[in-house]
Amino acid sequence: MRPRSKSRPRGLLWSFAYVTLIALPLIVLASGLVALRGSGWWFDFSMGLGFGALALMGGQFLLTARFRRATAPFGMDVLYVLHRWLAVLAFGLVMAHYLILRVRYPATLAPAWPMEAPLSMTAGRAALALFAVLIVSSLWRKSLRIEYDGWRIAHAVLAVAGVGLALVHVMGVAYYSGVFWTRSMLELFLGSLVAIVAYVRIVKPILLTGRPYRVTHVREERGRSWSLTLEPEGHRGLRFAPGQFAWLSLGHSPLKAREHPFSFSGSAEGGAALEFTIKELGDFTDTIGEIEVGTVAYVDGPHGIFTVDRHPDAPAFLFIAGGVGIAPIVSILRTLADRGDARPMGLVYGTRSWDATPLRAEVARLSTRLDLEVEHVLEEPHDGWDGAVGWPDPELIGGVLAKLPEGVQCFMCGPDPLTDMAQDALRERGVPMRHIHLELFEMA
Amino acid sequence: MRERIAKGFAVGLTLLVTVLAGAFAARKNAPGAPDAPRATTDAATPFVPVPPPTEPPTAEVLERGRVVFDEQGCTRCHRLEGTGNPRSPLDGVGARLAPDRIRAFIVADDAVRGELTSSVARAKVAFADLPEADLDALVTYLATLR
Repeated sequence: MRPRSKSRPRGLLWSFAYVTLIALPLIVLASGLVALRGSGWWFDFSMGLGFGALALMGGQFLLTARFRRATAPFGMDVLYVLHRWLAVLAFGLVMAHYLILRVRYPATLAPAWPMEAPLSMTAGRAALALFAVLIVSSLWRKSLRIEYDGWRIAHAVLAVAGVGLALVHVMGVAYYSGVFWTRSMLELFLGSLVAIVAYVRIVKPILLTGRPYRVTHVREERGRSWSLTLEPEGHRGLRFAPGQFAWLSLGHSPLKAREHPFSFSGSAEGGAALEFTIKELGDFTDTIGEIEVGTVAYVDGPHGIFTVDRHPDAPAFLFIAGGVGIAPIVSILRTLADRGDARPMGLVYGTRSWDATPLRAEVARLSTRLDLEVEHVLEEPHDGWDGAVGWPDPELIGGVLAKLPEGVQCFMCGPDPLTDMAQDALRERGVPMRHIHLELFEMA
Repeated sequence: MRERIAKGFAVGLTLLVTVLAGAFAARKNAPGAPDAPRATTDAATPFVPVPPPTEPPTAEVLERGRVVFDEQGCTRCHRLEGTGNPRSPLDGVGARLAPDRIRAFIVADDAVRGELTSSVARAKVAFADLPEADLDALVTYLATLR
């Protein structure tokens, strides 16, 4: 959507603002504004870690609020990666905060038994426990067999409860937070938190409710996939860049917080109708085929930076897709065809079998409209198949790459093992990392 | 690549927070760091050492005071002779505060309410329910800390 030259300074600006926001509480605490004498380096270091961790935890709400303007330079996917890392590291700081006191000042901790301890200390312990549950249930959600929709709601509730309890702890203990500036800062923090949660969970969904879509087509594709077409109802819809995605609420209000991210598969030049191609993956997507024409839908988007539109000067494109990972790439190809793009392109497309190759007819049509060479790779080839067999491999990718001019921009979407292998193959053949693009999360 | 940048950013930000926490601790504990009025110092009046009591307390009362101090978990918020919470040290409190002020601070009496945060005051009013003899013993014991 935005060319690179514009998004880089914006990205730096947003990063700087974020760092400042997180660091500010500790800077104010250390400044002369909070005129309190310390109580020993280790004690105050522990307090500082506690405040710092609280700021980091609060920042997590901003990071995942999907503010489109602030996330556009980075892509939402990488912000979720950041969210994960910061959660673990901030938890480490909270643990250090606790352990320093446990070891050096055990008397300050009060008994663990809630009936014998002040509320503020019990709140701190409870917050620590909730953060632990939050991290374990998120990092190991799949191994623990926690269903996605339920997890999302629990995740939000646990996060709000954890930070809420941490605030009760800090305000109750009131060593440094008893004075004006710290108190004001904490009140501002609490106010912002309530505002962000209210915006994400209530205001934004209500705004989306005012921009409904209707499902106008449901088409079965090969490989247990379905294409849905959505038309805006009473509004002009949205503009997206090919390769981007949106969070989709199908058949229920966005207030229910049960939306899922899907890539657009239609052309960005194709008018107001939006197309998504979705595969049955053994979760809620198994019911996609049961969606009826006329079902109401809400679209939060567009998001993501996986798009050729950020690289307008690219001399050529190489696409690598695995299974339904073809969806955003078909969106890109359809858009480029509609624009009459004449640049040379290659596509390596791995699927299980010819019958289970989503959008293969569309890919064939696009190869006649574009200067596009397509290499299908089948895991289970049928009799008479004369193309590549197995998984896309470095030699095959290298072969397609070799036919494209220097400076090619590469886009890949598919299972992790495929994109990991493809990245290595491209880098070994001299493609710089900045020319390799992929989404960093699985599209549920 | 982007994944690595995100990881680096997270680690960098966490390190920055850790360094700032360390700097905060160092500044607050530097010699000559600012000091605001605190409950343990009587800032309203110029500092005049409190004279020792004319009649020394009995060993029995002092022992009782020490037991009450331990039983009530005073070290959760106060430090004495190197143990307990360093935030509000009680070493030498007998020289800083007259016995009636010590008593007022123990029970968060109206006379000193303005010098305590509301949550601290809430925690302290419960001590007003202590048996009178225990409270007296505690005050007597603290007053001997010089």
